[in-house]
Amino acid sequence: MVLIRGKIWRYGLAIFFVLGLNFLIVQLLPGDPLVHLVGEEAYFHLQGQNPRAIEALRAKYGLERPIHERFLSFMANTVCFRLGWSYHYGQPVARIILYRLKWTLVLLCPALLVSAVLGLFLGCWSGRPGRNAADRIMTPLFLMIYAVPAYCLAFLLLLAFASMGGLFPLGGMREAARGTAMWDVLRHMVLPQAVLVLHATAYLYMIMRSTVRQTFRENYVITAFGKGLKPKKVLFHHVLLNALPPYLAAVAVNFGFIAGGALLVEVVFSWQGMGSLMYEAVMSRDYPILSGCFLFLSLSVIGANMVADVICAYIDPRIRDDLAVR
Amino acid sequence: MISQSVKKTAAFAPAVVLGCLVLAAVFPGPLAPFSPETLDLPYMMPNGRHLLGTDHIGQDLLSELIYSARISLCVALFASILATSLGTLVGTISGYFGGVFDDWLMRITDVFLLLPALPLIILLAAYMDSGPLNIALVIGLTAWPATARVVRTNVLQERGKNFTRSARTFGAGHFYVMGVHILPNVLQVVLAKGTLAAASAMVTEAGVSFLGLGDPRFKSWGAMLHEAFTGGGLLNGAYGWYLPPIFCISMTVLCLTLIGQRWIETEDESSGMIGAQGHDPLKPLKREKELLQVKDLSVVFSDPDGTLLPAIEQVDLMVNEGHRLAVVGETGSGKSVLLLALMGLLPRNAAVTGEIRFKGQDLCRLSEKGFQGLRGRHLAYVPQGAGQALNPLMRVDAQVAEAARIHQRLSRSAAMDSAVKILQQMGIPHAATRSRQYPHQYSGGMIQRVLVAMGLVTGASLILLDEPTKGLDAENRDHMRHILKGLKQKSFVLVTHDLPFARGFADRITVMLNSRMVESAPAKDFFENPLHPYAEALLKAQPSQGLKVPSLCHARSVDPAGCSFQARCSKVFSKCRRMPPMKDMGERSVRCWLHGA
Repeated sequence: MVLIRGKIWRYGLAIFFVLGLNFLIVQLLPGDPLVHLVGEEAYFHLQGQNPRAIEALRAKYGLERPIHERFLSFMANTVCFRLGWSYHYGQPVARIILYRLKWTLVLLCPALLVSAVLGLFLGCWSGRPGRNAADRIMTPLFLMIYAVPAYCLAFLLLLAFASMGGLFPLGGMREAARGTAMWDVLRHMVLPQAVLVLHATAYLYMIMRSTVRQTFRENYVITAFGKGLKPKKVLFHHVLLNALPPYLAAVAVNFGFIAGGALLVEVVFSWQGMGSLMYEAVMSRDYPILSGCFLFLSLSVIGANMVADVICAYIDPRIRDDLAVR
Repeated sequence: MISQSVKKTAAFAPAVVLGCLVLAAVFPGPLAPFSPETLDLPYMMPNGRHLLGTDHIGQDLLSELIYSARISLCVALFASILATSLGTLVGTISGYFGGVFDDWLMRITDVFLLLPALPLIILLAAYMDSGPLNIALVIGLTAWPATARVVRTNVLQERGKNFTRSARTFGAGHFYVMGVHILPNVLQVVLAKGTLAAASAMVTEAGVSFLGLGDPRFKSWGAMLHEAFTGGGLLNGAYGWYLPPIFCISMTVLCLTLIGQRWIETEDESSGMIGAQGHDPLKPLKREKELLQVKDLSVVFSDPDGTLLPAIEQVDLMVNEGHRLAVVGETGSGKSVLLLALMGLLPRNAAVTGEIRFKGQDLCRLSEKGFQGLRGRHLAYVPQGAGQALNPLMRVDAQVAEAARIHQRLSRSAAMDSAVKILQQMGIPHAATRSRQYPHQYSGGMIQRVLVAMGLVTGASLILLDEPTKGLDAENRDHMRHILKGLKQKSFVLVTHDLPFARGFADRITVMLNSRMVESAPAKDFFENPLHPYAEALLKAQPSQGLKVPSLCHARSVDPAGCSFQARCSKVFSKCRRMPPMKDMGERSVRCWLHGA
């Protein structure tokens, strides 16, 4: 944890900014803030049925109080995980999101891990200089996959497998009759997982390839060749290691992009994670859910970057020393 | 040649495809078979009248696709322009002014970089009126940080260059310098980033519209997918509803990415790739009196645009077993290239001709595999210490041990021990503990000594040294000379600016000028009586001033066909307009009309 202290202000600032943005969007965008706080559905329902309740809610959320007081109470609520109430689901927002987040992570984490490793090695292998069959085959292939948005790839896979019959389930997470049997969930994961791995690998492969190509221009590579090391050893001992920190940083920065793609893939496969939740929230204009989702996703991107920073500091002694000095 | 022209034509393909799409977006009327208002039966499969079929309200899908191109492309274009101009502005200001500006702008950029764009855009689009303009605005406002970072890096490089500084000293204003001197030089990066930003804006817009957040009055390709998804296109088997928008989005993104990458990857493909290009395998090495014999060696680099740059021309060298040769000359005379040619470590765009005989083996025809058997074991290379010659992420002892293990088949720990031992010999203080440190904890002089240690530890019989005394003080220089001279059974080729070191170390001196040898002589004779006027000037020049021979006359331009030194030579005469041949004078040789020929 000592390692991270040097960069902690960056994350602190980011978290503060995300919270502030969440607050400002609700309060300052045109329209009654109460709509944004309870969601359109609940607002119009209450307006029709029980105008008194609206006034009560207005008082509860303190909309008459000055803005800085509202901000403070918003911050306090958020820190205590009180993200509001979803009338659509009849549950606290935090509880709904936590349940859905679990399923998103089940889908996203293995995919990200697999594609980070695949991207690392494939990108490294085809980023090496010289005549290189791997580069000539994989780069156009991955470039093509990269150009197709993840959810479009999901559609293509769906179309392909729909005609192939019931090899894999085309949507959902499990069959009601079978309960939560692990095997059943895994079977449902195959297609969305395949889409995510393919797309993220293509993306990360591109990053790694160009990082490795740049690393090959460094002088220590010539030194290593000059020692008489075999090209494979130079590639995996010297170049890979040096390409790893920039690669990890790029993976972390693009985590938001990949997660964003995953959200849409969930919608296509009706996987009951955050993506479908946001989709449903958009449809019913359930604003508290949307705000909560944004908060959670931003925090996970920030978290991913922190993890990447720690790993980079572990690999690169210069970062380690630099942070220790600070 | 044919594949070259095919490649050149293929390079335009993305631009052509993109141009067609833009054309369709600008003039949908004549292209689309139906106007958006024309309705037919819903859910029609593709047929002669409706090439792609119809959607859930009976609109012709082909026409819809063509009309949607306008919104998709406009959003991508607008968002990309916004993001790129904002990013360029922030990056330029940050990189140009530096200091507090830079600090704070980069902090803000970092924070924005951490925001997940798609969820934020979904959130904002849900709250606001989600017309295409608003969506483009939000995408633009979230996509600028990556551009800002790249532009800042480039501006920092440009700012350091001389012409920028001199413009400031002549009293040019900040904004003038930024606009006239800096921006044009980062324009290519900006364009590349802008193209890539358009691609990702396209993807984001399609994603947002796919979620149904777009304005239904302004349909984009993503919105078509939304309708296909919610309208049950999948169940009805309406492939014409899904596949064309997917194809269009992917095609546009692919074209934009290809164009952007072409702009970003400007450095030529061939540089950075190193390795020998011969085909012969490594034959058993013979023990010969002439350990290394170089005859008529030339190295020519070719630019991607076809220009040829000679780095070494017709060099002859000979190193006998146990001998030490020093190659001296100004920066850029081709000395370092010579060493790399001997090691087979030149970039791929270098063509090597001539003959390099090493222990009876012609290195010019040796394959890369053959060189791998040679490097380290028989031929060691000590690179210059400047600019990360050591791997920054590996401990120093591990790097030296790596070299030791190649030759001596040592165990890991034994190799580490021998690494520490040789580092101690090279005068690294507290070698046992300091060898466990990383290169960034070493001074320049220490790195230099580590590199020499790495060359010595392999046990090679010929060691090539590239400026081993750079950054060393006089005491350490003497120490190094002492160690190197103590290795009687090894031979050396030393490339240096450091004439006093060469004098004390080498037994033969070769002078290089402008890619050619101009004099070669035994060290004693050379320092007592240099023959070539350039060698004379070298000895007079101060080595501490980077060994630049002062220009005697700038007015005369150098005639490439003549002697390279004629413009600066005090003894120049009419014959010097032709290149003098290398005149053999027994023990020594010289390339000058003053000495016969």
